[in-house]
Amino acid sequence: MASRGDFIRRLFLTALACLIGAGFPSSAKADKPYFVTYDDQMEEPGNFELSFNPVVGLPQRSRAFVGSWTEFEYGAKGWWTTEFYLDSQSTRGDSTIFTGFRWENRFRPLAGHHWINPVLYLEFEDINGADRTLLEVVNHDSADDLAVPNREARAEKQREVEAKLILSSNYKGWNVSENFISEKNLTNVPWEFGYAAGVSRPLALAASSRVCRFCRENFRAGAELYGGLGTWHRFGFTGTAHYLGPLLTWELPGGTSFRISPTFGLNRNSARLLVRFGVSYEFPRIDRRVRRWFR
Amino acid sequence: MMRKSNASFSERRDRVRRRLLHAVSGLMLVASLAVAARKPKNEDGPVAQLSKAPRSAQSLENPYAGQAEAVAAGHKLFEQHCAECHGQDARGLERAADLHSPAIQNVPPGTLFWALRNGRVRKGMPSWSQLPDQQLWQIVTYLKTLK
Repeated sequence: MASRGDFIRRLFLTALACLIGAGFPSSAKADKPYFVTYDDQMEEPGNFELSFNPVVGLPQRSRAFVGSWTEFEYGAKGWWTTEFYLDSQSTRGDSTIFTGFRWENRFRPLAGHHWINPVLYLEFEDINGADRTLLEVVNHDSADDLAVPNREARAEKQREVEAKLILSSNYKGWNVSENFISEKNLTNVPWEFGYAAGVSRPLALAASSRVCRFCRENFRAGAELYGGLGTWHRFGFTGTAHYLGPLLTWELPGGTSFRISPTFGLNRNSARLLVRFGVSYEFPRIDRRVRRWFR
Repeated sequence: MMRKSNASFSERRDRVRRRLLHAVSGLMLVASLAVAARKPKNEDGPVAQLSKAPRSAQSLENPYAGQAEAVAAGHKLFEQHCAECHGQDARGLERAADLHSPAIQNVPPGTLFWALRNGRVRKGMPSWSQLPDQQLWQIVTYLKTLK
């Protein structure tokens, strides 16, 4: 049983990990504006991005929790980005557990810039029912699922394949992205659907001439909306959870970026408040370094 | 009897619908992978790529042309986004082009803007369409000083 002190200690360790992340030496710029929504930005070929993303959940009818995912992203090709995730969570007054892994791949089928840039997304995940990252809200996922104790929830296996159609547009500095999500548990349950959408813009469109931490161009603000759309048999908004929240990204010149998004549940099926944090660091051209080791 | 036959009809319909969905999803997956993996028709270099820029792009005017501040901003952006492949001196590394070369320096600024925005995704050059136009023009302004 974790006490309140343990919970606060874990939060402190999370914040410390974020600060250590900020202390890495200079590198390329990491830029990923959203938490749940994907845009058309692919990882640059050969680059590796490490990202840590805790989400503090304050549901109205169950215990507070910190879900987190650690993300390892690699640009395999200009048109193919692959990512591996490790998920864990800690529930106040319950326990801290590892909840599974995900492996995702994003493919950009069209070369060049278009009004709407499509990206195809495929993921396999092997997580359990105690996962609290809320990375995609599908089906009739609701805040009541978060009330199940970890011991019971982790017994539920979720081996799933997920496909997303990502559509993203960039116009006059604005990015508008829409994701259509379909997920299928490998057991005999129907397809589940969800959506995510985001809009964001840097605070300044032109860059300043000096290297700076607090220049307006280093900040990107926006909003994100996501939720479930039911299943193949019961498609629609009825009984589904929806979230909306502003977000702010701060990109440091060294290659580290911070993100924050307080997200609010829009109906009774949603958790009252989710506060998402993220810290990312990009290692440029790690492929060259690895090749050098084997020469 | 009637109810039973109705039930079996709806079960059959559901089964057919499910199979259809699986087949369509499978086809979409195969098609998308095939599209993603297909080779481009022209295996040409960056110079030939620049020649593909549409006339409308070639005739675009650089709003920052000749501005010293834009050159400095462009240099900063170049170091953040481009130097890891093209090198700090922009002479090119491995497959990335030498940006001092006349073939690149002699094209109109609008062509460079178009090339940055579209990239050559299949050859490893990312599309920088997520950067605002102003920042792309600042990079172009810097690149034009490498002559």
